[in-house]
Amino acid sequence: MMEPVLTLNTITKTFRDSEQNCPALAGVSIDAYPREILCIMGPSGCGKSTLLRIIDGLEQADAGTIHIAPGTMAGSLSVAMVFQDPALFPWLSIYENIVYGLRLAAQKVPEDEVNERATALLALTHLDSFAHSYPHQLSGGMQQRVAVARALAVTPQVLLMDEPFSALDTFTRRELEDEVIRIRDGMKTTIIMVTHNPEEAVYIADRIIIFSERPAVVSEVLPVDLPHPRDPAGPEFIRIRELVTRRVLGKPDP
Amino acid sequence: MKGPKPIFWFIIVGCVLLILLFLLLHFSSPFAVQEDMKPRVYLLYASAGSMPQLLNTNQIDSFIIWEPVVANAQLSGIGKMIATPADLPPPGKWENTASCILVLRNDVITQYPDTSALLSALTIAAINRTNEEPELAEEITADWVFGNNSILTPDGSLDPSDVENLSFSNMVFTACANPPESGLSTNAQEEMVSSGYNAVGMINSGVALRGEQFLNGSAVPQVPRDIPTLNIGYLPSSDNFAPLYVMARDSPYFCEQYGFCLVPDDQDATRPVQCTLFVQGEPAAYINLIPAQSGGGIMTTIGQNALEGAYVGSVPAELQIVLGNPASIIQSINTGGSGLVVGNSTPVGDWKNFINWVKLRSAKGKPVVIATVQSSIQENMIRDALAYENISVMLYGTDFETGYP
Amino acid sequence: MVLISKQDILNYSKGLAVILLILVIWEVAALVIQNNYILPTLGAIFAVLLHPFAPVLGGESLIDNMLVSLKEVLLGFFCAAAFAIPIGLLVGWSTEARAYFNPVIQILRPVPPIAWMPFAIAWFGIGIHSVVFIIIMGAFFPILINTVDGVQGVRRRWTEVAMMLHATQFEQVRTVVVPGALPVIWTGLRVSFGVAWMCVVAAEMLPGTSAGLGFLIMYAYNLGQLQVIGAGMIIIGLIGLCADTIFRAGRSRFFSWQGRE
Repeated sequence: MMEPVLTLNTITKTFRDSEQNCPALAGVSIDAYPREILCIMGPSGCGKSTLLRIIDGLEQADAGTIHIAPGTMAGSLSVAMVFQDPALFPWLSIYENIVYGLRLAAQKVPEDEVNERATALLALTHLDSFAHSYPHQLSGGMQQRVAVARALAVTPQVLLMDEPFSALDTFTRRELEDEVIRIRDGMKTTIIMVTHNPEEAVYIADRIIIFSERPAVVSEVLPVDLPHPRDPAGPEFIRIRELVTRRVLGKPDP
Repeated sequence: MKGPKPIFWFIIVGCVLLILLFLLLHFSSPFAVQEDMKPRVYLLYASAGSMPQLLNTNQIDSFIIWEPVVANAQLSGIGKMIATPADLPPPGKWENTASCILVLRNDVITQYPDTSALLSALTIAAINRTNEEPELAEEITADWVFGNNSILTPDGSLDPSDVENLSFSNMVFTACANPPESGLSTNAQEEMVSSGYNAVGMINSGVALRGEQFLNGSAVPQVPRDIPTLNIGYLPSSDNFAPLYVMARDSPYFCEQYGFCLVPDDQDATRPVQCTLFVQGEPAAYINLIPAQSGGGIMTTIGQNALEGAYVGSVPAELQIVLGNPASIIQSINTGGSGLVVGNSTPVGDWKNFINWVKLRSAKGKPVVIATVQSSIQENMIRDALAYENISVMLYGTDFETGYP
Repeated sequence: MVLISKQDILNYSKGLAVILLILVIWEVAALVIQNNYILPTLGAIFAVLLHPFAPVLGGESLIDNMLVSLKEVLLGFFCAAAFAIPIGLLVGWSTEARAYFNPVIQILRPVPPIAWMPFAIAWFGIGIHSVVFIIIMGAFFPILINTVDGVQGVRRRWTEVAMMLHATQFEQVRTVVVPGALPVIWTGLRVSFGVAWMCVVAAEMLPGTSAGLGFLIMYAYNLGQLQVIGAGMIIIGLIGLCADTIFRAGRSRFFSWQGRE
């Protein structure tokens, strides 16, 4: 059994404002293994995004621990995140956006290597011909690809994705889901994605983690053992998809 | 960050460069030192009110301005007067020339000949009254120019009547002085206008003549059927218009003496605006006395038909008339009434010393700075005098030398 | 590089047509009124404009006076920017700084630059420094307010991306906040230049100025030469137009992404 690349132990978070306390997470524990694609699902507003932000350091947990196996390469971040909206820097070209993280002091990547990584990522995300375009010239789906490339540029061990494709149409979404799988295969990254789409989860995930209602805990972990490429019309696919849907809605099995 | 980088750096570089430039300007004097030199002074335009303060803070070396600003500066301990117009070269030029005059627009004279003549008559009468009763005139003037309060000075306060006392000793009120041959006007005429310049030719003597007839009773003024409203401008900071103040504030005397007078609508106002010209107790014209800031501005306003006439400096009037302002000079009000003032610690006692001092300072590369009001008789006087002494006049803060005939 | 298309020419012609209409009305009115003190004829105004290097009213030329005013405005404008942009970045970025500085900013902001004139003379003496001070007081606040707004308008998500990639606070400001706020700051600069240019005419009425378009206008007024005032006003307007065009060109060249992000 491999060592988990990311271990979350009883993560607890309550949002406090002047009127009331709003408990979001009540002790979430998750292990993520190398090269795994994990999908986190659950009822709306139950802290899934909050969990990702805690892993990423944008929020602080009230209690609990996070353990991340240290990164191996220079210029490597342990964790990087892709948000629901691409949030590309509109004043930078696509190339500049992708290598943004590499130019920060925290990464210290020499310039020729920057170019290498950028070229590789542009190829991986099929964006070669757009290297010198600007974000406002690209469609939503392509912008999101760039956001993914930007996160991958710092070769994170874990790539967090917070409902990255929910704003896109079905066809683009399918393309990008395939790309996620390709990325995992090519770069050997662990991917943790929050999604509201059961079909998407079953299409790409190795395991699906289901959260309870707020205050959230992990209510169930469903493995998906189907081989890739997965057929959304296949019977086993549909069975698992329906199961996931029932679990998320809290409905009993028939 | 390729896109905005250029402007970002442009802004930064631009800022740095210009801050340096600013500092450089601060430490470099506006005066360039040259070897070839004709001695030079710097002429600076300022308002009458600001000049004593500028002298007091050593930002200027001297100023030339009308009374009572001169008397006020002397009594306040800010400066000393070293020359009156009569002292300024060309010798004798300013001794008997008109400083301030009465001006009326030509169409007003044509349309209301007797009203114009009445105004002239009253002015002459007021001049006589001022000369006969100087203390009364000083009191009225102190009240009009300074109000009822004492004057605040850097060291304490002054009684306005003391200021007026000193000021009046520097003025002669007369209706008979001729307007000066103005260097500024000759300059303007040569540069901007083709018609000839003749100061005396600007006088419309018919008006004063008719006025005299009213005064000695040989003619009776005709009241026009449409009673006109005339706006007459003047400078309330100047003592030179004392006859006007006497005319308005001592109206009972004139009513009794001549049968016509100028009566303020508000008898209690220290500076009346709305007045009525009465002839034998009947209104003959409504006169508004409009205070203004500069002689040039007054003349422009006359040209714009917003003033019908004014008591104003001779030079601003001539300057504009030569450039086409449709007005005429009726008569003078006074001669003198100005002074050249320097700081108390300046080692200068008269015009000759002043010129020596100017030359000395110029040679040291720190030319004397003289303040005056733009396009005023004072500007004309000082520039004529400096031209006579062969000293060039530069505009302060520039390297532009003013031309002169 | 600005390409001029047929559409552009058409648009410019429309503007030009209105200007020509106004000029025609002006000239007709001037001929009817027949009083150079009230409405100078276009002929008189153009006589001054068409000889920009000739001495005006026995003084310096139109061009020389224009350069003096331009120098004063540029000095004041860049000084104001040099102070306002850093202060604006600070106040926009830090809630603490905002708490300290906002009240005094809101009190000083509405004070018209002209109200500072007596203090200008008292603190800086006669000469170019007091004029530049007035211009700085006019130019400062539009830049400051816009910089603060620009910083506060930077999308939170962008700074989160930077944080996520482990950018330091300073790197966040340098690489995200400043470029993100730049379009709004640019607008502030543009407005501020307009205000500064307007201030120069008033500022040059301070005692001690002997050159500049504002001085020229006052000088001409005292001599009743309104056609010179007209020429001065046209020059002032043209320079304002030029400056605005430069700012707009900058906007489309560097900030075409604004509004589409």
